[in-house]
Amino acid sequence: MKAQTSLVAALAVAFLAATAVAQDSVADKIKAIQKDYQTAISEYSTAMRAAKTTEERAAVAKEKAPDRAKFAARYMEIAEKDPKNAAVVEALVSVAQMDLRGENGAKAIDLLAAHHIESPKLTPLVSILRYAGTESADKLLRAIADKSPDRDAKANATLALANSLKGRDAAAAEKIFNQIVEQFADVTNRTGTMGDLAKEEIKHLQKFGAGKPAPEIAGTDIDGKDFKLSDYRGKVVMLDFWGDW
Amino acid sequence: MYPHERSLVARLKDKPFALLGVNSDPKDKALDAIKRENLTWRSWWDGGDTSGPIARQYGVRAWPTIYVLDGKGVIRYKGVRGEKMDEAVDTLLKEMASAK
Repeated sequence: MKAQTSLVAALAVAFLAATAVAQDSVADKIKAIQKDYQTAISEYSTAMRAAKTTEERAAVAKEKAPDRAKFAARYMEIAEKDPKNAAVVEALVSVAQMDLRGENGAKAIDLLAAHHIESPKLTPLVSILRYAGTESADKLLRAIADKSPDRDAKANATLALANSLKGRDAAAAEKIFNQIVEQFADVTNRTGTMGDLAKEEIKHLQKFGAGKPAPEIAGTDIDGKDFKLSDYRGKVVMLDFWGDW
Repeated sequence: MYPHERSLVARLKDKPFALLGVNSDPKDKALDAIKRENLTWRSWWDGGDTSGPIARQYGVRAWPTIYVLDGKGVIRYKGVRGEKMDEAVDTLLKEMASAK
């Protein structure tokens, strides 16, 4: 009996050790890629600083800019083998950041939505997901908003989802901003309380959201000639508020 | 932004499509950008800074901001970027063609 117990214990120890090694190696592999990426970035900025002319800078940009697609692919190779491992979260977040609207980015975001919505490491990603405008990004935001145990994370994901939707589906966005007013009005971020922010957005959507008539613009062009937005009725118009900065 | 906008305008030159700008630069800077970047589309000049009357009228607080309007002058998309910008315009052009 005693021998059996110690055999079981030995097996358990061996098993634990093997698991630890396996986990370490995933984390180590990811660290190695992170290190390579840092090296590539610092080589790039050193070369950029050394470049003196516009031509030289263009050449550096072409030859030395870190190949983000390659790094994303390396991260994905490891993450896809062991997607539930907490050690892959950082790698998946990096891939999503590097390739926000691309194929690997979507895969990374889907894996995060499937296995890691409770990870606090998602915070930096949430604030940029609103700019993705992809199905995967909206799905991840929705998953965090619905299921995260952390109220701030829930509030931030809900806000990001509303912001992501507001350009495409004003009615859906308005509903979510209303939900923020009801549930997260007291949560604060850089710009104030989410309640005030959401109320402001609702007011704006009701005036300028998708489905509302664009207010007439009558003004002069750069050469001082008058023209109006309504001159372009019958055409699809892309209205671009821009500046050269 | 400029190369993408240029290629959009070139691709849709035979379609009922117009890219219209609202520029918030001081006039000399705007003229310089138009010349340097060979911008062929028309822009309203909004008084030289980001608090101009058109930006204020539309409640624009971030630059660039893109609105896409259909042929009836209704806002259909806002804040679309990259490929989504092309997709939005193409969707509306298709919609308009099939309504004829």
